[in-house]
Amino acid sequence: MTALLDIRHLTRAFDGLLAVSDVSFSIAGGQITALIGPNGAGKSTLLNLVSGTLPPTGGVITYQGQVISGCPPHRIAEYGIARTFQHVELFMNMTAAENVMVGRHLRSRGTLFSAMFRLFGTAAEERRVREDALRFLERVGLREDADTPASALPFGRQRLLEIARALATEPKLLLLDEAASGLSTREKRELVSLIYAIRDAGVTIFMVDHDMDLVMSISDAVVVLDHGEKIAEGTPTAVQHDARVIAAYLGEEAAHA
Amino acid sequence: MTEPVYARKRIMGNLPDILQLLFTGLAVGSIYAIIAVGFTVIFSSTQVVNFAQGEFVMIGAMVSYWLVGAEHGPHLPLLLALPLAVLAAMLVGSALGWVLMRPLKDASVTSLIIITVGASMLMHGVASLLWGKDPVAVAPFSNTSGYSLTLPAALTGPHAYPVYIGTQELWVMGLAALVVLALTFFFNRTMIGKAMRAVSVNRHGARLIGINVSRVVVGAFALSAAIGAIAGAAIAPISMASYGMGTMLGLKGFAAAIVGGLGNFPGSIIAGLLLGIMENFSATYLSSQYKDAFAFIILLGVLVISPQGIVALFRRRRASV
Amino acid sequence: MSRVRPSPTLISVLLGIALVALAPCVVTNSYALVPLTFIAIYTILVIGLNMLMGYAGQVSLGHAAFFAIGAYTSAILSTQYGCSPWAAMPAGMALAGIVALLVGMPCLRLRGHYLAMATLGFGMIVYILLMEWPDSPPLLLATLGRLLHLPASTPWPFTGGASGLPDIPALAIGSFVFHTNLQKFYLTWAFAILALLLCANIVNSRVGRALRAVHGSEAAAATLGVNIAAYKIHVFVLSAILAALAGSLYAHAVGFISPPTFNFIRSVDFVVMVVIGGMASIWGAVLGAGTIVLLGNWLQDVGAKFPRLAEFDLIIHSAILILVMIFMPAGIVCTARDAVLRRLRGRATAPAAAAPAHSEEVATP
Repeated sequence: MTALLDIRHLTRAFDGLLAVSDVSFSIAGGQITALIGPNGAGKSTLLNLVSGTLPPTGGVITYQGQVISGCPPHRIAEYGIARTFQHVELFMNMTAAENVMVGRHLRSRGTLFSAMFRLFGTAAEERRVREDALRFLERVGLREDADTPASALPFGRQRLLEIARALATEPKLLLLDEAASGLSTREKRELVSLIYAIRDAGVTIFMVDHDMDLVMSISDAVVVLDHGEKIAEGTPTAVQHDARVIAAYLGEEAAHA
Repeated sequence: MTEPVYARKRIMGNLPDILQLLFTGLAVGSIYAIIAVGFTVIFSSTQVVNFAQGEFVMIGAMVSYWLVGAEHGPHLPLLLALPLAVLAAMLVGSALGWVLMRPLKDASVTSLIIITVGASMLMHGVASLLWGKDPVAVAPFSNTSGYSLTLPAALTGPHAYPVYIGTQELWVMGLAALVVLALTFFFNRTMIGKAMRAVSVNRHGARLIGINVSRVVVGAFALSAAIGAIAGAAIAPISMASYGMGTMLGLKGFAAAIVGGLGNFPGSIIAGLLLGIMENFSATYLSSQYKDAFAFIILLGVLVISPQGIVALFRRRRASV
Repeated sequence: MSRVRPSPTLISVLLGIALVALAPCVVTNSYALVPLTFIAIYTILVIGLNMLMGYAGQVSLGHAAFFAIGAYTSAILSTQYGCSPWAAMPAGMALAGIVALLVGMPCLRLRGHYLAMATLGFGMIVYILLMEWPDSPPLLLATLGRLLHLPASTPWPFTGGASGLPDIPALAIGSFVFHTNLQKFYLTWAFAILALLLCANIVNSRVGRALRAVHGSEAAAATLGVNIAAYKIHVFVLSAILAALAGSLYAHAVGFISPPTFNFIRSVDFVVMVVIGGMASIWGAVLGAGTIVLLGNWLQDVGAKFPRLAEFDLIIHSAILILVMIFMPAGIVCTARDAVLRRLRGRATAPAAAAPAHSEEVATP
């Protein structure tokens, strides 16, 4: 088992408060790895650190042997890491197809100059990018909505559109941030089969989620965070029976009660 | 010619000049410093860079001029006019803060910038209508014009000029020191001051513990306007007052705020003082026409080297050693 | 892009050409063509500023300085160095582009207000330079010139200080000189339509899409591989080049330039034009430039009768700025268009979920 992504002593502080504290684990290629934990455990922060949206304050992230921590997000995207967002971050001012076409940014080459003067090949590339985008929309079942403004799509489809947009970069590692939250049971079922399909196409998946049943049923490995620290790691069954994990979740329930 | 002796004599002979430049530079610098503090008050509680900050300075200068010395004005005593001018600026400042409430929620930097620029132009326009476009001379705060300080001849050599200590410059420095002291007290000892600090650290958290964030925002604008107005009233007798004085003063105050590190109180005060002194020296020894360009060159330089301000640069150096 | 039906850009451009070609049939008074010529000139500048504000989310308060760089480079090269105006024009554009790169590089990696303040300061520096430009080379430059063996007769550029530069030659093709108001009208509008076409091409391209994406959500655009800082610099430089082009056209069309045309207030006027037309809508540039130029003209006419009223232009402009930004942040054109469309469709499809606020803050635990 080769590690695709390796996280060592990863730390992120906000004004002295440690959101992620000395976390180390690795993600195996071709698998579905889930990151879980109670509210405020630092899950989203960790995902933001991997995608470069936030720079870490300590520790190292290695991707296929190359250090990526500290790189700006667009550079990390070039390495082949794509993501979705907890609060959908679509380009609401654009259509569904256009959203996915932005996902093809790294797979096309037009420059400001060539676009201005419509130089040789601009129109052909533009056509190709659109065809590619439609293909990715097809994969998530949104082909019919291609020309609908992203803002007019129902929430569940917006989530799917974000996945299509991320897939359009042809990533090797896909980060899903709470992809199931806000979805109906049927939509969740569709999401699960989509995730399997993506995995089967050779994309490694690292997901953060709240939904225990979903996480336990589909992931190959689980990492548990609490108060920014890693408290457990292993197969879903092993983690479910870990005393510290149970304590952490029980604590949360006690706090809610 | 024996060079070293000659050189030393020249420096000694220039000592009164240097002290003079230092003194007037410090006065102008105190103005930049409190304008910078005005920026900081608003920035730290709202994250807004208020492009109308300079206009508060203009309002302070023009209103106090009109109340005290204008031909058709009410000829009030200064002691009454100064608080009134500050009050006028605070009203305008609160209005601006109130107008910004809605766009603040959308958190679009672009629209915030544009609205404060618009407000700046609006005040500009109204002032030029009310008071005309010509700069006006403003009477100093007290009648005593100043003191001549003759340095001992042993230091300067014979025939040296005395250093002139202007009363208005002393007023400016005194008021600036007072503003800084009052602000320190305000932020550390009063409830509303503490609330403002809480909002600057964590807006959402402040709302949760029951702080009225909108009131704090309006309060920050009013406070900042008051600070600006004091600066304006104090500098007007030295620089004259006009409807357009705010743009340049505001920019220099902003330069000081950036150099000191946006949001950093002591940093912006020190940077303001230094800026005033350096500007004064460069005007005398380099070029007087380009005096106003000097502050911006420093501003651009700081943005290139260390956008978090010079203080941050030193801090980073120390951390890396 | 389907090949079957013509693109909306093409239709707009053809419509624009037709309108411009026919305008002189309606506007028969040749003096009335002068403001229309100014609209074309300002449109060129405003398109660039519009892209900067709308797509890169940055405000420049110093575009009058780039306008000045174009105008003064053109004027100085063509009157003092004997250059052809056609050579002077790209020289000014190149200079503005380089200067924009230098000013923009440090600021555009930071958040919005830095560029605004830096350009405001930059505008002031340029204005001071125009006013106070020395009549002879400063010692340092003179020495440098001697070291580089420049002939002593090399003329030192001259800005004319506060009194400005007169007698700037008009543009000409061969022996055909663009001299009359009508000729200048056609010439400037040809440039304006070309600029509109080129910028529309950008908006509908890979780069334009990336820019619109940045406008929609910076965080998401970055994770798709869009180098946001680089694109912001590209747009800033492009906008400076367009401003210089406009400045150069202004110099050759009017024949006389002086510093007050290029002061800070003018920079704000350009921002007002963008805001009226609506950010991120390059066709709005025409409307924004048109409104402000015609409003200024009208105020001047009225001002002949009521002198005090002419001083209201600043107040009116700033009131427009504030009101539009608060109540119609999308600009007058887009807001009106959306309102009409909504009426027509009868609110058929309401968006399911309101677009979440795209704040730059990243979710903290």
